[in-house]
Amino acid sequence: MPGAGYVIARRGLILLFSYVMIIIVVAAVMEATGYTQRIYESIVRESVQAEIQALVRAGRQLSPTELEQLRKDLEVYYSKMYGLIDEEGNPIPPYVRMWILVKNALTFNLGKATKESVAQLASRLPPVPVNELIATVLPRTVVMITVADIIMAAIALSLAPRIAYRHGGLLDRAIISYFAIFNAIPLWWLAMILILILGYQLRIFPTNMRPVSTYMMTFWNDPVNNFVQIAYYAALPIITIVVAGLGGWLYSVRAMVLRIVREDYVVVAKAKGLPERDIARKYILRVAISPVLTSVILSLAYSLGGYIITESVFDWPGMGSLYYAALTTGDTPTVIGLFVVTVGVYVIARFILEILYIVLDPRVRAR
Amino acid sequence: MAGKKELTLADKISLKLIRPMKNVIKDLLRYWTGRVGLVILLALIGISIYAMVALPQGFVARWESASYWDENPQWAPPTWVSAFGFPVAEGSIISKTMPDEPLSVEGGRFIVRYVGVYKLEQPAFPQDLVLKLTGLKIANISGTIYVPHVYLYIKRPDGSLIDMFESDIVVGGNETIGFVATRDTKPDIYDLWRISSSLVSYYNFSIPVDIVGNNVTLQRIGESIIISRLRDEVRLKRSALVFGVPSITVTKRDQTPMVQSISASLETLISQIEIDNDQVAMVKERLIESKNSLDSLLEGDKTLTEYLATLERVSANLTQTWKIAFADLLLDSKQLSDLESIIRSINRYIEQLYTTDAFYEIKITSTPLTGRYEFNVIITYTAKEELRDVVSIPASEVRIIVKGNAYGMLGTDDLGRDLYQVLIYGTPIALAIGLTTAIITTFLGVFAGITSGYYGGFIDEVIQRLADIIGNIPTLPILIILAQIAQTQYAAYGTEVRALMTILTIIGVLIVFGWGGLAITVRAMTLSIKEEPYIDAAKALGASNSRIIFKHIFPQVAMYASASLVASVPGAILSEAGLSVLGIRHGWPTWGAILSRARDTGRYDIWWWILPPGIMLSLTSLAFILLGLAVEKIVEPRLRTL
Repeated sequence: MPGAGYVIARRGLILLFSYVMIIIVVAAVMEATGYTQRIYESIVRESVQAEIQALVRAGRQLSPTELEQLRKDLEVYYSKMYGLIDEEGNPIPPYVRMWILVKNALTFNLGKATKESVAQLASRLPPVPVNELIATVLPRTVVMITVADIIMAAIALSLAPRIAYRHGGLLDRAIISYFAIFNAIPLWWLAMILILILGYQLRIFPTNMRPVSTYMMTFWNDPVNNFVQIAYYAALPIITIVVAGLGGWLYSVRAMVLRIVREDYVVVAKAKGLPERDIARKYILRVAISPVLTSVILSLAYSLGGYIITESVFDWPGMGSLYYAALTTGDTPTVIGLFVVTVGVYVIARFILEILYIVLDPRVRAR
Repeated sequence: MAGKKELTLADKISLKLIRPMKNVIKDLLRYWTGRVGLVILLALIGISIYAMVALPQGFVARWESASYWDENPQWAPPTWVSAFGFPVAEGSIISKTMPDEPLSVEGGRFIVRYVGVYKLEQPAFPQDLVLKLTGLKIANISGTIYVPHVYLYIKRPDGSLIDMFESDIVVGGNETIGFVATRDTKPDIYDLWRISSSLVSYYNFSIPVDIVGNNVTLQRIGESIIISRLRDEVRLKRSALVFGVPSITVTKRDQTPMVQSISASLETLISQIEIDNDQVAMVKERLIESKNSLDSLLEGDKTLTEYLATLERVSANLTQTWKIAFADLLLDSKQLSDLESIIRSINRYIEQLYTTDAFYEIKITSTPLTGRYEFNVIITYTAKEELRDVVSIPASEVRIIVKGNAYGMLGTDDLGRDLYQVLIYGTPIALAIGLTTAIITTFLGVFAGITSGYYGGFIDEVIQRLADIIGNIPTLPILIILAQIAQTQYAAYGTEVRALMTILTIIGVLIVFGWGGLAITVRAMTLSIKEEPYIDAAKALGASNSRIIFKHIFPQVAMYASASLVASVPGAILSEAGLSVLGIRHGWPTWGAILSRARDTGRYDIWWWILPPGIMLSLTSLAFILLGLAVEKIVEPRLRTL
């Protein structure tokens, strides 16, 4: 019978394989569809045009042949810079560049963001190294989405088991209705409505959250005041996410606990007259802990990727906004960098879970 | 053995399709979630059928065409807001194909008159007034071009007449001899001078005598200032003065700062003069006298006439004093130049009071005038006998459009598009997107899961690894990239093709990245079903793999799959809407498209733009979530206490 080490190693390899494959798939989507190619070609065209215009405006006298030669030289220069052609001037086909992309991604050689609207999220001018960009932006997403996630998890974990115990009661029904309604309402629409009501009409919260970046970047200059400011800007997004997502959390935790409450051995324990506290602790929580832990850890890992649409509605300068800026302007290094980081975090979280399962669940250990 | 009864096709359908369907619905109706979900779903299906039947073909192209909607008011709330105390001015389109008064000749011109009537019921301003002339005739007879002359005036409920517009309509220039050309035109009927002059002459606006005084010239100047202010008001608010009675309040502006500043500099000058002879004393005396009469302006309530008289006297007095002092060297050069600048500032002040509204403030407010409005459109031509027949009907259609301040069931957006129509039209699209995605995803997931579980081995490993990979890729970024690619790829094929291809791409991506979770669950179910003895029995009897899968495994998985199907419908609908809101638009009139437009313009305050599409999205999701909850209970009997 293989030991725990073997199980962990096998799962780790499988996850690593998935990770590599995901990066390959993303690189294929970016390159094989010609998406990056088209965007880089247009950048090259624009840059060449801009340089020639600058020269002409500066009053340089150039004959048409000189101009044509200059244009060609510049084209070659920029094409090389963006990796469209190699040193000898031969075009690099998309399927080759795709593997360059994959190699760079897997060696964490993330490159630089070249688009203004992308670099702007870190209040800098391009080019900005992608890892610095992500390091600047990630804490903002943590402040909004991960905090909201932790709040939801805490409320759900403390409430849901009790509700599941009184299964079918009034509170239970209320939770189901709450879950059904708020699961149906799109989060970003709720955000729009809350901005409309609490921001524009009642003027309790700000309507644009972009300034939060200033307070986060200069946090250590004046921690107390900056904390208050950040809380002021983060309040509405966090409230929105919690209101919208809590139903789902309550419902899923309740369902997990419920599945165990119905098991025969719990019924037997009850019939034997064991005290409820003991049943809850030894018979239910011990078993429920691994699915609950799974959903908590995975959702925390997932939250680091940001919510693209919701962040865009709030104009929150987090990972979602970075994704969006990079995707719409075609900033390939940033897009790949974001995938490397977000998928990487997710995969690592899953690996940690695998180890935790083995620690927590004797059945897995014995397997 | 008893004769085995052969099943007819009808029996088979009844047995295989109708009876299970009945049972499912009966089961669904047992739970409140199922009942509510079914009711909403039926309503949505009803709306979809209505949309397909009632809305015209080519709605997609029309939705993006701004000119189609230009007769509707912009950003207008629904008309039913009047029930909540907001007065509503109804919109109205008066279309005339025949003149109301036949052709007559007057002053050497043919005159044709159209009269349109509009009733303003509630005290509110319509948003705008537009005149459209379709097929207006321009004739060319032996080299002379006869153009129509159009005149529009409004007879208002209080009897006032407002001249709106009068002009020759000269359009085009390719008329050949003997040819009658027709033109469509939409003249700008807001002639600011005409409208403001009409208003002033009817309502006798003038600056009150107790402010301006009895100087006739100043009164005339005041009137012209009022006209120009009214003109500004018409330019800014347009219809508010055409459909409202303006009232003018004139208040005096505080003149103290100006007078005091002049008086203070005079005071400084006086204090600097040292008396060393009689003549200097006389100069100082004259200055003090001027200062006193200046200060007297601040006492009591002086009119403009009095102000100007005093100021002119002071100015003359000071000028005289300056001349004396200059001629006899009574003041030093600094004092002289100070005095000069004081005189200059007084003169500037006088000029200001004469020509501007520096002395009084004019506030113009307009209150809606309810009642019957008569729009008179008069088209005239030079009375040339050959023209008589041609111009007796000078235009194929004369449209007078009163844009209300509210519109229809659900109001309009920034282009004047009827949001009700879009909302209706969005329903079948949303259902189609959601159901297509859910059905295909579910079939793929079930098929992959059963294959994986039943065959095991290498196939199992490949499918599970695939499911694992696609399950870990964040879908939304991929969706954004591919939707963008689809948009640029099909941009050249026109709106409808591009829209269709973009939506198909979205659906395709959602399917490709959506089947993994279901496949993993179905595989687990298949693994346990595979171990059941009756599968062994079937195998022993020589049943083929496909028979075992379709006859024994699939039916058991089907119920769970249907729960998953129902639950996965909203995902695709919300993804499409979310992408639209992000700005990845396909061009179809969907709920997301409405929200996206609202977000682009940043108008979060327009609730009828943001609320209804979101409510429709939420209701659709809710229907499927509730149905999903009910189906889940049917599938999982242990949850059945609710």
